[in-house]
Parts: sequence; C-alpha cells; structure tokens
Amino acid sequence: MTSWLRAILGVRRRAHASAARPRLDGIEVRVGGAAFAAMRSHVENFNHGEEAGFLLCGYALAEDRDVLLAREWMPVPEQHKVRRGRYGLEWTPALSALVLARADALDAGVVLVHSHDRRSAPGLSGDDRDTAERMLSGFSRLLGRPCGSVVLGNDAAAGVFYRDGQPAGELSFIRVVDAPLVFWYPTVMAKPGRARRRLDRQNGAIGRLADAHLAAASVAVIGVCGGGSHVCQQLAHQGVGRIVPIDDELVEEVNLGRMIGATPSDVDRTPKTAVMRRLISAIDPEIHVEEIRGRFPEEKTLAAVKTVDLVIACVDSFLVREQVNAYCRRHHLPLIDIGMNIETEDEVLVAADGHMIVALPGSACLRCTPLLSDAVLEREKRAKPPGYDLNLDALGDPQVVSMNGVLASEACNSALDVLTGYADATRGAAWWGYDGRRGELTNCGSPPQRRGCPACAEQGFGDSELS
Amino acid sequence: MDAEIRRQIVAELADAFGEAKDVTPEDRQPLHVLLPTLWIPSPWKPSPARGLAKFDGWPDQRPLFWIEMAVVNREGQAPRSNNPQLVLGETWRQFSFTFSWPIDPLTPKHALLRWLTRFQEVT
Repeated sequence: MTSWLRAILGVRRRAHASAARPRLDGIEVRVGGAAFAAMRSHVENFNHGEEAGFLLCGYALAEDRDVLLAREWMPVPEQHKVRRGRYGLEWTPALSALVLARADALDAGVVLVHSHDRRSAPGLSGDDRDTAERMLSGFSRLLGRPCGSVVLGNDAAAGVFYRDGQPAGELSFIRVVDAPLVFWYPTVMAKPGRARRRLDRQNGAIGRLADAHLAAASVAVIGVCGGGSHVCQQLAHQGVGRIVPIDDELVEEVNLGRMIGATPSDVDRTPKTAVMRRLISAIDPEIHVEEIRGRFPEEKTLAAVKTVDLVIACVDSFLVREQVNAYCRRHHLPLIDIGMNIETEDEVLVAADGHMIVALPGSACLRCTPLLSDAVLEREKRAKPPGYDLNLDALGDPQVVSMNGVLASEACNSALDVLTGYADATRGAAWWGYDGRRGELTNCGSPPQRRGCPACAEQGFGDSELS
Repeated sequence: MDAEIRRQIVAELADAFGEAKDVTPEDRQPLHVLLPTLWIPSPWKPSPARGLAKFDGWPDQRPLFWIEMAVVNREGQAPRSNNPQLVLGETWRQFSFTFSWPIDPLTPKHALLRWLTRFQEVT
C-alpha cells in the first residue's frame, strides 16, 4: 500500500532527527480546547453511523515523552466514505492519499481519530488495530513522524502508535490545552485521595479535586526577580507540585527592593533561582523545585520549558517575551505573561501601566497585538542591542514591589484557573490592564488572532527540524 | 514577496553557498532560508556551519542573518556582540553589528557576503 502511495504522490521517505532516538513507550497527543471540541463534535455524532478524521500533528520530545501537537483536523468527508454501518467506517484510497500528501506538506504525523460511543474505558477493536497496522505504520515510515490511531470514550482515550513502521507504544494521554487543562487517560482517573491539610482553606474555596490537579501540575517561571519571585511564592502556597524557576542572574543589591525572599547576605553571591528554591522549600519541602540557571532561549531553558504544564513569563524585555511567546505557540503551552512599565519625570511617577495576559492555543497570542508589534521590537533592538544588559552602568527600569505584586497575584489566579478550572470558564484566555497609579485592574477580554501573526504561523510545529 | 522572487533568492544562495532551503513556516511569512553549509571565516569553527537568513521587506530592508550556536573560536569562546535568539523553534546567534544599506550590487549573495565580512571584522 505504501509503495503505490509513494509512487503516486512522489513522497520520499523522510529522515528526522527524532527518528534516530531510542524507541520510547507512551505518546502524548496535545490539542487546543477549540480544536478538540471540533474533533469531538464530528466523531461523537453517530446519527449516520461511525465517523472518523485525521489529526495532523507536529512533533516534540519533552524529556522522556514523545508529544504529537495538533495542527490540522481533516474529518472524513461524505464523498470519501465507501461503506458505513452501525460499526466501522471505510474511506477511499484517494482520501488516504490526500491525507498523506497534506501531512507531508506540513511535515506532520497523522493520528486517525474516532469514537466508541462514550465508553469509560475505550479500546481499539481488532479492525481498528488492523487499520492502524496496515495504514498508519506505513505513514509513519514515509513521513518520518510517529503516526497512530486513537479512540475516544467518555473522558478517556486509548491509542496505538508507530514510528518508522514499527510499534512505538500506546497513547499515554490526550492533553487538552484550555482553561482548565484536561487530560484524557486510557481509563478515567480514580477520585483523588486525602487532600493536603495545609491547603484546607483553599480546598474549601475551590474544592479537593483542585488539590490533586495542583499537586500533579508543573509550572515554569521565566524571570524570578520583581514579578517572578512573587509568582513562585504564591505557586508554592497554592500547592503546585513542581516549580521550575528560570533565571541566569545573581542577586544584586538593587534587587532587595523588589525580590521576594532575597536577603542582604544573598547579594552578589546567590543565584536568583537558588533564592526561589529556598523560598519554595520553606513553604513546602515536598514541592519539586527544578532550578534552571540560564537565560531564555538557551537550550537548557528550552528543554525545561517543554516539560511543564504552564509557563509564566515575568521578563523585562519585549524581545525575550516575543521568543517565549513563539516557543509556547509551537508547543501548545499555555502562557501567562506579566509586565509593568513605569514612567517618571524628575523622579515623579507619571505612569504605571501593567498587563497580565493569558494566551492559550487558538486564542490571540502576545504577538497578535500591539504589545509586541514590529515597531516595539525594533525600538527595543535599537535601544538595547545584544550585550546591553551586561553593561553595569546601564540604568535599570524603575519598579515598585507592590505593583509587581498585584500583577503577580492576578497571574497566579489565572494559573489556578488554567490548572484547576476554578473560575468555571469565566476567565480563560484574556488580557488584563493595570493602572498602578489609580489602582485599577481591568479585564479587557480576548482580542482576535491576527491574520499573518508570525508566532501563530508556527502553532503546533513543535521541535525545530532545521538540522 | 511573490513565489518567483522567493525561488530566485533561494536558488542564488544555493548557487553561491552550496546549499539553501526555503524553511518559511507559511506563505504569508517573510522568506526564511536555511544555509546548511555556510563558510565561516577563521578562527571560527565549525566551518562550514549552519546559517539562517530572513528576507523581510527585501530589497528595501536589510536581510537578517544568524549562525548556529555551536560556532566558537579555538579557545571555545563564542563570538562577541551576540545574543542567543529563538528563530523557528531553534536557538541561534544573533549579532548587534550591522552594515550600510542598500549595497551595490543589491543581491542576496552580496548581502550575505557583506554580513560575513562584518562578522570577520567585528568578532
């Protein structure tokens, strides 16, 4: 089958860097909330028998896990169905060829998706496995990407995958990136056990289930000084199970006015990430703190960011913010960004404008709006060329600890929403403006995605394959 | 930039520098060209190294160039005046130096040669 497809389409077998890696068991499929809803509404409609579709996916390797990142959904259209009954669906070879050609054009893997009528423990039938082995193992060899077949049930999903024509393991879970994050495992997860006593009051407010979600969650905080130190402290109090502080600097004397947890004895000797470890561990020694002493986008920081559920950016550069945003888009990572701009005239504060943004797959990203326009980025490139921040005589931006704290607290409310869904879909992806002079925090809603946005153009691309 | 101009730029860079590949993420985006075998002046190594070029607003605007992070001198030190920058999902070295624009002759090949000359002078 694969040889005739190859002949017709002119698709040559691809070799990707990922293909050389040792085989790993277990594959994650990651998809945005709106895309998942569209997928479900198609395959869970049994009015005319079974339905199916193809999810074309980018690829990333996150620590020890293969991740397939949804890029495009191709439902099986009516004109390509050749037989349908209550059970089973077949489609024309021409559709298989179209799917393969499209996946090749996108440099994507293929996941065949269908539903088993909301079973709590879905499983691939014998026919499903035959189809996967016959078609998708061949696709995986041609495309050089993991390909597989997934069946959806009732809040649960199962699947099987191939890499280079060989079995590559089962589906670990589907991660639906929305507010809240949702995970569909092969069987519905058991109810959580005993909640943490120290979170008794928070559990009283948002429920014991939130405790379990938070304990299993991991959050990267990029930049842990003015805003990020507040964020780390609150994430620890909230009970997030794994926190990844990322920063490459030592504590300086001028940081003591705004960095939570820093003391005079840390000045010029303690990495900011080490202060965060101390701060977090003092609140709860059970929290796993993974210090990354580096600057985004150094490779170790990229590798660490890929492994988390949520990224909170607390950086003071638009250029770095742009890169964090682009990386999160590529990997379907939810991003919360905070920033503060204070202007003074003769040491009198005339403006204190801040923002807090939650960007989810399918919503506007930071680059969709004037916050990260070409003009803003160009201006910063001119004002702060490479190496600028290594100049000890350069003036730092003015900051006020309490104003940073307002934005950080609201960012942690959004983190709680993304990780637990406590706000019941009333928050989600949106922009907040903050006026530190007047004390006003305003929810401005979510702007539309910008056509031609360079970051959204790379949504779901995953790891770079330029090597 | 229409498809024919994109194709010409890639072909010219391939002809001059050995290999060039259009890696633009989608049609609406500025042309990105990967140069897998770009000659880098001594003492920098590895040479050839991978380079990346972005043609945004060509020919009115100067193209942007990056080189791979692995490029170092004999002592293992990185070139001066650079920042790591994420482009197309990968970290590259971006440099603060620039060169006058427009150049004569105004071709993609000469733009990259001018950048390489500046790279040699500055680093």
